[in-house]
Amino acid sequence: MIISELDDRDLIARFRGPGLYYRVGPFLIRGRSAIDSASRGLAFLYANYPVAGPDEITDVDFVLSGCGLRFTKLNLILDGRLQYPGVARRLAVPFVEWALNLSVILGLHQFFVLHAGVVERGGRVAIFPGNAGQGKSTLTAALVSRGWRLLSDEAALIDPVDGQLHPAPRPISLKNESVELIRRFAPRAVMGPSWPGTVKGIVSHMLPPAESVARALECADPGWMIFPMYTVGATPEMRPLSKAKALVAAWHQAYNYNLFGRRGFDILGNLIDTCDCYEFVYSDLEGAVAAMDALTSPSPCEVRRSDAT
Amino acid sequence: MKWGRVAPNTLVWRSWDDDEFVVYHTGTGDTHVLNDVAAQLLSSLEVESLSAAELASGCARVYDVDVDEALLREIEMTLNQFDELGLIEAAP
Repeated sequence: MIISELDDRDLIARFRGPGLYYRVGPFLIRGRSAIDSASRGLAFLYANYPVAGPDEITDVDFVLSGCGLRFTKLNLILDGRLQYPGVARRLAVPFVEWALNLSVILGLHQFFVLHAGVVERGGRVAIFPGNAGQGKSTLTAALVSRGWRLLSDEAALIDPVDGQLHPAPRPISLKNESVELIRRFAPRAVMGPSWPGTVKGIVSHMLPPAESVARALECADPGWMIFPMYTVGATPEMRPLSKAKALVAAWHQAYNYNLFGRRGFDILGNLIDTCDCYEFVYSDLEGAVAAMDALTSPSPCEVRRSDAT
Repeated sequence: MKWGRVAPNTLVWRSWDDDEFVVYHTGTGDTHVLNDVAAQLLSSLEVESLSAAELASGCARVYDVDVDEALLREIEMTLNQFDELGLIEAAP
């Protein structure tokens, strides 16, 4: 069963009672909420996600409860700790999304985690590490709207044993100009409401395609490590980057390197071994998608070789 | 004055070509990109403690250049950077 198959009464009863348990890739999330509008907003964003039972181990647990005068504010409790106290009630959904980011990125150390957008095509994964504002979520959203599979717009979850990338495809968080940019670029993409007035400005979420959600347990091998650099007016340019520089740049985007230590360095080094590395300057999304698609196309030499056989 | 490694097995190396090297400092958790000359200096100090002048002589042999003031100054600057990054320390 997926969340959209729950009727409204059942949905609200679960959120108000024992919790709605749902699965995002390898993670089991339990959400409880006394705020029905927030419950429905979350159910919209996660409509295609599988409902899980309460008898499994929960990875992430959040609770929304009203507070303040006439309950105009809310407290967000994450994994038993008061994470966001006194949040404006109308911003419940974006705050839950940020809380889930925190929990996935900072709390789940079965993976070596990079701050990165992650997409896949043809069995190879492109990893876009970068700081906020470098355009990784916008690029990720644009590619996903053109057939790339979403693994994550926020975290590359690297398996420490085999180096594969684990998907955790959640709604893609777009901010400010990126919201309208993606609405225009991908008019058929399903977008959630816009939330003005957050600390990051306007936030809106693009829902992942149902196929990305359905394949959320399907890991894939790394193929490219690409550092996006959104630059106004720039012609798309894929600049080769040395593996040494790529490793150090990616290291700066690793969340739990201090916990992994030497093993983290080896994990990342092995990942870089298998990746072609680039800096990617882009501005318009059509050009950016074309440049990314070109990476996955066989070169003319390869085409000729396969024709000859 | 001689310089040497900070402690045994503190540095982990990785490289994909002869031009650039990455070194991971297990103590600080930092990673650094080194060019071939810097890598040559640091790896020499992992083997034995050496002065800037001794490193300059080694460098001159490897790269077939003369030891002059400019080379010595470059090496001293690099050693100071290594020291600030905790990659080496003054030898007793």
